[in-house]
Amino acid sequence: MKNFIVSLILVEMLFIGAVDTAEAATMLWVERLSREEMMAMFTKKTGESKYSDASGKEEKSSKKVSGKSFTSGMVEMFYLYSGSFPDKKRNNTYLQNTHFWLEDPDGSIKGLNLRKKGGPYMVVAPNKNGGWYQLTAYNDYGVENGIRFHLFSQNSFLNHSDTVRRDEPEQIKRAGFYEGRPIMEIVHLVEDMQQQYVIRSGDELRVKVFLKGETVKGAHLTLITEKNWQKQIKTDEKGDGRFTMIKETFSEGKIDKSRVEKYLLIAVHEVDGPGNHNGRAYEKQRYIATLPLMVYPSSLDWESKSTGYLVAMFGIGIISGAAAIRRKRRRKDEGR
Amino acid sequence: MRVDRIRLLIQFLSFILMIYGGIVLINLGRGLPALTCVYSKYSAGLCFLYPLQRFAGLPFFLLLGGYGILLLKYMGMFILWVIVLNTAWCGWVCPIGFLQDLLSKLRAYMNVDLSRFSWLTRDRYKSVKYILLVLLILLPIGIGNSFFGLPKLTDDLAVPFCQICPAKPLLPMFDGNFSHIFIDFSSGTKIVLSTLSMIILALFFTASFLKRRFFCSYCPMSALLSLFKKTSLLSLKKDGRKCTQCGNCSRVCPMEIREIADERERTDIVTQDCMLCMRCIEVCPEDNALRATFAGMTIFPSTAKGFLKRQGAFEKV
Repeated sequence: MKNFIVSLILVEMLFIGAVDTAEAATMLWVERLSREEMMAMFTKKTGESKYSDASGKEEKSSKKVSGKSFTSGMVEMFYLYSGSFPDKKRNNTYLQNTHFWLEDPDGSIKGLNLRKKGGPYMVVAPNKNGGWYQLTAYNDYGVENGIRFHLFSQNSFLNHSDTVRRDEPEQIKRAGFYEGRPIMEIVHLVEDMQQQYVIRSGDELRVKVFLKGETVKGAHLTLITEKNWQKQIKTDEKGDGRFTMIKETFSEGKIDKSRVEKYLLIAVHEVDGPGNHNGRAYEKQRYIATLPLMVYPSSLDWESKSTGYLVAMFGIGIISGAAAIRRKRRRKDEGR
Repeated sequence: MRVDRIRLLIQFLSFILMIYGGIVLINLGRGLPALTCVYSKYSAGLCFLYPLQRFAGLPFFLLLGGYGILLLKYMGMFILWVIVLNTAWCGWVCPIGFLQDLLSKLRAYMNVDLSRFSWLTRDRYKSVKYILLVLLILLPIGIGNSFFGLPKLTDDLAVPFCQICPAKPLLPMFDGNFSHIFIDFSSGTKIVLSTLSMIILALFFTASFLKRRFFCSYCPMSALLSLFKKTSLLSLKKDGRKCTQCGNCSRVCPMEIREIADERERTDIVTQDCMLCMRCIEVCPEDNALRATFAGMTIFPSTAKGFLKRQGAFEKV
């Protein structure tokens, strides 16, 4: 009886959840390498490290491939994963057909090559100009169980420099794009630019989901944390969704301000309409977009404003008092 | 019109520009020789000390690459600004200098006596700003690099001067951000630095109220500017033969520089503390004893007539 009830609950979750076990396998996301991971990769002295692009063709050492860019400090690197967040799968064969597009701060978009170095699939994003870059990954997964899957993932990063250099835009057809934008896109809405750069626990996350440039009402939005806590909502009429970032890790003793928690936001939307893809018929199309998020601890964990004001006021009082006493003594001495 | 009033007006306009210029997308770059804080939301430019500390904290192999080129670019902009305006950045543009001048005006309005340091005290502590300048470069280097097998310094010491600078809690207040007044309990280093920041803030208010331009005597930006003062186009010159050593100049000097009055031989008298406010020229009663020059051309000389006029005396004596 107990097993039956558990099975029933699991089956219900499969229907209710926006991300079920079938969909989880066809989801992908891009994760940015931290500076430490990048430095560890390039300062490793275990001989020449080889690089190959997604087709298996070997290139020269990683130093030549990205050392020049890396030593100039003008690249960001991303791993491509699939699977069920936070469990990562690196080597699903369909990943090698993923297209990457990098949007410059000036709006120009160029394609990037996918690489494989024995580990996960990787892409190197050059960023010489100052401003926000957006990386979009698109994989036309194909048809499965009568549904055609389109997989998207986005990541954005900031180059702090003031350099501006405009390249000629590439005049090519971009897979996964519609009228210059990704077919499905999760846009993080911010009021304060600092919030786009750093999301902290307790902050409100507002997003808008677009499909072919139009906002999507009723798209399933799921927020998943590293410890697999999930929250599911649907976008409203304006395509908006809101989450409050929770806190999963509570430090005992020393506070680790750099402890980043990785969350993943997943948007799923289905569009009815039969069709045919590579000889396989489908009845509807499912668009799945992911947006990895790095959530930092809130400063409320370690900052005390009241203590700060107290120390400042106390300081003013003590210094003013000392100055007054000193002046009084000096006047007394001068009076003598 | 008196120079000090013109200077106050220019300071006010500069303050508005530096604090709110970003609203109208003014960007003067990251090499400004003034304490325009990075924590101000709409700042029109960044104080050069911030990128200097940030880049000094990078590992050497990154600094020798593209980041080093960026630092050179900011340094080039900084040197260019200094060549044009010299230490007038302190006297005419710096927002913290402006706030200190306002506190001085408030003190005068409240009829509170001015405090002065003795020459001995002033000479004793004049090296503090150079020590701060050296520390704000060395500490970040110790964070990014390890020497002689010693461990790197803690990241909590990143941008060390910015953590204690009074501009950090003060200037963001002008765009409604009061969040930089706090004590950080995340580590022992942060407790010390944040407490020091609050104490320096308290000292800034109190001491700048009682003594003119108190903070400028210890500001590492002033120390950095003084390293380039000889190359600048703007300068203060003295003709020692015409000086009668009345002492007016050092009496009105906000930085209490006695060399203006005492110096008889050197012509270039921009000292390490001078902020080119030109008050000394205003109150000098001798023709051409003191003059401000730009690229060798005199732009503001001292005149007996001007002195008397400013004192309210009749024009024809």
